[in-house]
Amino acid sequence: MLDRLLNGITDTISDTLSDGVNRLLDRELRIGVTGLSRGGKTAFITSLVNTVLSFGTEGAQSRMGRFRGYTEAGIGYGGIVQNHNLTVPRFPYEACYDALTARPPRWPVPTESVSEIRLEVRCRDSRFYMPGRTRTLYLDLFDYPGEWLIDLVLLGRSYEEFSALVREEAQRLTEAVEGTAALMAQCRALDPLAPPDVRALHAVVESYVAWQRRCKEIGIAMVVPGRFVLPGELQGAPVIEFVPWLGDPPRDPPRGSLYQVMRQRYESFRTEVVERFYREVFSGLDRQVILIDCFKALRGGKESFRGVNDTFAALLGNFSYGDSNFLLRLFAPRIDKVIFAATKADLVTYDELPHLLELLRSMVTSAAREVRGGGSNCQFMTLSSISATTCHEITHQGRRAQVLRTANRADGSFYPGTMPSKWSVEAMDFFREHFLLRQGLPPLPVEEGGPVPSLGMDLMLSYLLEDKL
Amino acid sequence: MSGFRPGFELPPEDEATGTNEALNPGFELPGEEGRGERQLSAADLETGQISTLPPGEEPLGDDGEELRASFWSSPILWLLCLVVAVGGLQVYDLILSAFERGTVGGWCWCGGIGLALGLALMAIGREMRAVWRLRSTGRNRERAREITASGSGRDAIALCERMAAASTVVDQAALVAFRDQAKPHFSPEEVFSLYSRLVLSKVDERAKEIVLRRSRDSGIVVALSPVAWIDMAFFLARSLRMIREVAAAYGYRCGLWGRFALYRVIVRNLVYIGLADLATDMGADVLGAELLARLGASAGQGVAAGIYSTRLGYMAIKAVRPLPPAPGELSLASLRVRLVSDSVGILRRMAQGKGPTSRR
Repeated sequence: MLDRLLNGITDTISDTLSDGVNRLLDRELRIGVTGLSRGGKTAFITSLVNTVLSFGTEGAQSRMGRFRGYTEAGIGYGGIVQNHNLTVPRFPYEACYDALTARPPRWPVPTESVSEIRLEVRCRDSRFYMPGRTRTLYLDLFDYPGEWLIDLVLLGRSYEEFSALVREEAQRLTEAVEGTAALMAQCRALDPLAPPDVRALHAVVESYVAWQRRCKEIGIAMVVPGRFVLPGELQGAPVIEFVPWLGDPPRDPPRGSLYQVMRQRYESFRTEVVERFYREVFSGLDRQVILIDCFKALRGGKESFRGVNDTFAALLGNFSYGDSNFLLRLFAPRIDKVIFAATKADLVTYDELPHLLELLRSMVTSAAREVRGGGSNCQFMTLSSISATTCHEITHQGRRAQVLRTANRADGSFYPGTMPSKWSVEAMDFFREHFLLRQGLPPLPVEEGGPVPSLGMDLMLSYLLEDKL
Repeated sequence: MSGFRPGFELPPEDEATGTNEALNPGFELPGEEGRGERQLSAADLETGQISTLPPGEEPLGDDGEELRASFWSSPILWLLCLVVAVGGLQVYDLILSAFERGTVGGWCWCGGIGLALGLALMAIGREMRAVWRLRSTGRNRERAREITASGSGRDAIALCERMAAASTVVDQAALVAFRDQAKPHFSPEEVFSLYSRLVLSKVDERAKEIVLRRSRDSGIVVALSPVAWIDMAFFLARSLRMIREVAAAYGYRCGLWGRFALYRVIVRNLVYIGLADLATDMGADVLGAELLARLGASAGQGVAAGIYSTRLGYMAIKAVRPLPPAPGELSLASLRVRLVSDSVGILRRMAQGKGPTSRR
């Protein structure tokens, strides 16, 4: 009995110690993965884990052309290890991989809330005092919804400021999003000074969430609080039973009135949900990968144009250090690199990839001009985590042209069109009219135990790991 | 983003210019065989197949015209033709008179003159090839710059393949690794940096060693020699030898003309490109030299000579390397740092070992 207790204590102590040592020796890297408008997180993590698992096997080097650390640091092994935090669900890599190797192959089922997976990479130790030894680098991939990242803009806002933010947004979207006017009317009908009517409030909250969903459908990600759409374990909790005040704010609402109750709930939402996420997860991350589906953003049309700009401005605000906000200064994030990846790059031909990259760059930088100066820690890349097409060259009407092909040869080939390289309203119009966007293509089949077909994973790994090897 | 083209259009020839002014709508093709379709991969690129730049197009088209015009109107050419014609007549006369004296003698003369002529032609051919190779290196680099600005990864791979085929010093294993790792969706910069890293890095290392060794020698001799003109003669001889060796390391064996062509390129580099390098490095140079002057005036002179020799070697590398060195790959600053530390070490050892030798 005592033995077991002692063993338990020593185990705990040694675990804690080795943990601290890992941190000290810079052998642990916490990578946040998040996506905006269904950026393809699950596919990305599946592909990344698959690539890491293939380290050291035959043929891995030929896929790592742009990851120079792979050969230079002598990476010889990569594997999955047990998660750090056992209460967080582990990313279901095996299920995702099995879906790809099935016949016919299926897309892995997207994960809705948070998950984590811990990988280890073994390489040669290049430090002068430890020649000839191998060194292990641990990667914690932390996958969380993009909505939570956007919610961080609420950190420094009071209920009144939050209400004004949403009110402005709703007024702008009156025509674009159906039901906006109805929602406004429904909110105005609430009596701010009366004690809260649970049923009426719940109805308003429900229509607010429905409106948020409609906004997201047309590509507007900036509808706070994003937690409402993906409540996870907070489903039905009173802390998310509130709406922004879309009418005129009342004067001196008495204690216990609807307005006061909602303000109170907002405050506890801010401190107990958003701030906790910031403190416990976000501020502990070393690198952040943000996956963006540029195709979806372009399809959104004029209304979502400003929405996307606002979203990036808000996002980049989370990563900038010079922020005067007290909270942000208090728990300054450790994130030293933010990687923006335009996913689904397999939907364009190879010669359009530079344009896609330019588009992504212009989306981010035009949204937040001020980050251009201090944004040296931003990396941009195009990525296809799990490819659904292959690029071919044909002679079409006497000219050589690149076309795409799916796994099904009977489908024929197609040229999707030029990718606009600038984020503008004209580009969106052109894209919606002329671009051949094939949706719902099945992934290319993967052989049992084989590599997942992807584009750009080597570059991603080089951005993530190069300086830590 | 000026004109969106409506309707159904194929990408025009000059599509891959990267400006993306004209946007093209997509199109679909039915699933049929026999259009000469193949999946894009690096391995099946034909050498010399560059889609953005048609092979016939020369980047220096106008200059070429001008050169041709001056070529025919040049008096030197006519003088040369005259000399050749007179020489030919004389040879003919010589052979004729030899045959008059006796058949065997005539044939001997014939054979001897034929042999001499053959040797001369071979030598000229070698010289021409050396000059041509230097020029084609320059053209390739020009093309690399263009592809980086507005080409695709496939063009870059094709160019690298062509450079590798033209080179005699490329390690085949490295080339195989390059073919294995370069993918057509890479950007041109990525392809070139991969080529530099996998294929050219060994040659770079060898060239760097040569430059450092020769510069160190020059520096030490200058530091120790008592007479100024000996310094100068020695410095010149060593520098020329260094340039030749650097060129040889990159597989460029220069004959007489080739050497002159190379010197011309290097001098031009020294004047034009060197200015830029100078502007960034001058501070460091001056500081380094001043610091080292404390070791003694002669040692300072020696190190300065070494630094200049290093710069010359760097220019030689820039002139003969198939791709211009990227900022991080090979820099004058890193060369200089190593040179200074090496030669200072040697000078110090000499000063400690045999004091009187470093009298000056």
